[in-house]
Amino acid sequence: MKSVRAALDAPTVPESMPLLEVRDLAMTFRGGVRAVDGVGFEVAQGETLGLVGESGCGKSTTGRMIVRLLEPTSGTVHLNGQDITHLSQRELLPLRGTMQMIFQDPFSSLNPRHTVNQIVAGPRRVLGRDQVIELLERVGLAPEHADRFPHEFSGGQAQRVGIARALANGPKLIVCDEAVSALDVSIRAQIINLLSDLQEERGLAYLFIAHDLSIVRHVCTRVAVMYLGRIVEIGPAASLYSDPAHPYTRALLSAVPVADPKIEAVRERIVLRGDPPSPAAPPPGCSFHPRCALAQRRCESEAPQLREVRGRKVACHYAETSA
Amino acid sequence: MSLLRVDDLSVAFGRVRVVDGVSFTVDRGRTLGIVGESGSGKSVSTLAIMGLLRGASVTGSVTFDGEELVGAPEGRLRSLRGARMSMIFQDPLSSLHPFYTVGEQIAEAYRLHKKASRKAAHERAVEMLGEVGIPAPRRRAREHPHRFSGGMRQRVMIAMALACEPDLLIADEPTTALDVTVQAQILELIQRLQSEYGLGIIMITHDLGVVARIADDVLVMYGGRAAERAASARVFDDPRHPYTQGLLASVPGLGRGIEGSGGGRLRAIPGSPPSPSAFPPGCRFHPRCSVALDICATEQPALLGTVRQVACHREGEM
Ligand SMILES: Nc1ncnc2c1ncn2[C@@H]1O[C@H](COP(=O)(O)OP(=O)(O)OP(=O)(O)O)[C@@H](O)[C@H]1O
Ligand SMILES: Nc1ncnc2c1ncn2[C@@H]1O[C@H](COP(=O)(O)OP(=O)(O)O)[C@@H](O)[C@H]1O
Ligand code: SF4
Ligand code: SF4
Ligand SMILES: [Mg+2]
Ligand SMILES: [Mg+2]
Repeated sequence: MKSVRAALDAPTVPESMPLLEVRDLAMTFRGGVRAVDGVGFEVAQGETLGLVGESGCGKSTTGRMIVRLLEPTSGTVHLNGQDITHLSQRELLPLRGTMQMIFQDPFSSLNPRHTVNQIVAGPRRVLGRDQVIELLERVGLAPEHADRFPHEFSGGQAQRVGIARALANGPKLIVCDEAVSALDVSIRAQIINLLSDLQEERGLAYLFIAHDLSIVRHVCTRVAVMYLGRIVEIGPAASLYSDPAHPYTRALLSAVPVADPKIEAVRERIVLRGDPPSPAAPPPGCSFHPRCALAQRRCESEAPQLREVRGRKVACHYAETSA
Repeated sequence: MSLLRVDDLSVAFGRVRVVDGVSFTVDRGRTLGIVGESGSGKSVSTLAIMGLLRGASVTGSVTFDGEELVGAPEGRLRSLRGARMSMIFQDPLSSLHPFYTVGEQIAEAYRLHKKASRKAAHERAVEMLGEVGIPAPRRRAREHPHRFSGGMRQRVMIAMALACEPDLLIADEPTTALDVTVQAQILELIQRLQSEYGLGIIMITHDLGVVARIADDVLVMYGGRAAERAASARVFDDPRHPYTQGLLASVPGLGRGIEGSGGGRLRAIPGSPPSPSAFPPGCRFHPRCSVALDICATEQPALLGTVRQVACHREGEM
């Protein structure tokens, strides 16, 4: 087998090759819960792909398989053209710097007994203190923060430490799993600005997992909408938001409260019936059919496949008729 | 007369004053939205109104339907709570008892306050579960809370809060833990019940979208004080306090709907919200304010105005 390092450094990677390519990815947990059920997408260098959907639809599981905190049940993950789906932890080691993950709760992912310097420098001390301080300053912290412990920070500051740590090894891809969801409104805006500045400077790509659809619209060039383990619509953020083709995307967007009473007063709202179903017992056919206002007989038995509709991919039998 | 009138309310834990001189009113059939970042004193203010803060010193005045509640005997407060003023929280599971059925818990509150028979109380519980949109309410009334999803539990909490037909409902981040589609259901339910029962509502949230959707009036809190208070349309159309302006600018796509505009930088407020043990002197917002004057660092601005109230030394000149 070709060594991982050789594959990474190979200058022969064609320009057009996506940084990340995910195909037919699936995860079945013990007990038979099919949390992710055939997800596929690509992320280009320097791009931000948003992953949205309701709680339990499989966003985090997808992200965790990509950075290989979980080993997929089936499907493939290619990073820079290299298949990393089943690499061992040791084989993954040289790739760890290339892809990183930032989590919702910054505290739970920072070792409480380590100083910020130790956290950012990493277990193998890849960075010297000067480099750590340079990174801290880049993410808006002060040099003296290097000797503090996580509990001495506010949520926003702790998230900055998490970002500094993610940047330590010059990543190409960062999976942000609800990275700003727990932050106060004013702090959230600061962190979003920081993430977009870093992207511009370093050509970073983000897989941006979030349930806040207005933030996703702001930061993402393309968006994938998940429902019960599958992608139901994926395409450019602008057209997906202004002209959603899947009935679920439409309902999701119409449910988001907008901070303008004039718009709120006149907006049409599609209020879905019921709760999202559990992946332990997915409905047959189109799994959205029990909540879909447009459902027909066919939807109860035949699962729709993703196909091209109005410049994006949609999994709905009636995507054309439902504009 | 307002249903609820809060005047110069302050709350201190030991020597730390976390809420400082807050005033507002709530009328029947109307919704006051209280917004602010974490630690700004939203929950503490409303817990103080309900008389639910043990070990805190509460000063100022809270009149509910003409009756003074600050200093009222605990027994009197207990008989008002649940019967005439109710509260729902972000995490319904923590306020539901795991060992009793949902029906028993709703019935219990009703029996206590209305002196109803066991049977009548049970009927009321089933009726309320139906009212808040729980399918098959008679059967679901016999189930325990863990069998319900997050959205359904919040409906149960609302059923329990409204069983005795209270006049005032305080909702503290009731949809923060819910998915947007479920949040939309719950907000719609609250609005429907408000128009049916003529409830006065206090909706606490950090989500400006939720406020825009359901509030008639808005109180913006910062560092335990009121920064701005006015009708919702005014606050969103023409925010006057620099903090309110910053808060609105922090939200992507404002004023353009959910289609918004992608990219660009958000006009973020620098720094972070202060903690009560180290509130800055003068205007508590001054270390983060881009238009602060010298006076702001030393003198506290008063909340001034009639149709709209703003606590800022520069109000009127900008
Ligand atoms: N280790 C596990 N074992 C069994 N089931 C799991 C495990 N991890 C996740 N699941 C289940 O897989 C499904 C998808 O979970 P996941 O965490 O990916 O959802 P999510 O889309 O990230 O949701 P949220 O918005 O709440 O973060 C859920 O039903 C969840 O309960
Ligand atoms: N029981 C308590 N004892 C001491 N301090 C408290 C207590 N409850 C709340 N506080 C403090 O009061 C401040 C305001 O809290 P709170 O009203 O809960 O804020 P929020 O606006 O987020 O609802 C916070 O700094 C909080 O830490
Ligand atoms: S396939 Fe049928 S049930 Fe599924 S989203 Fe389309 S119309 Fe609705
Ligand atoms: S009083 Fe001064 S510091 Fe406070 S908001 Fe107004 S201008 Fe800014
Ligand atoms: Mg998740
Ligand atoms: Mg609170």
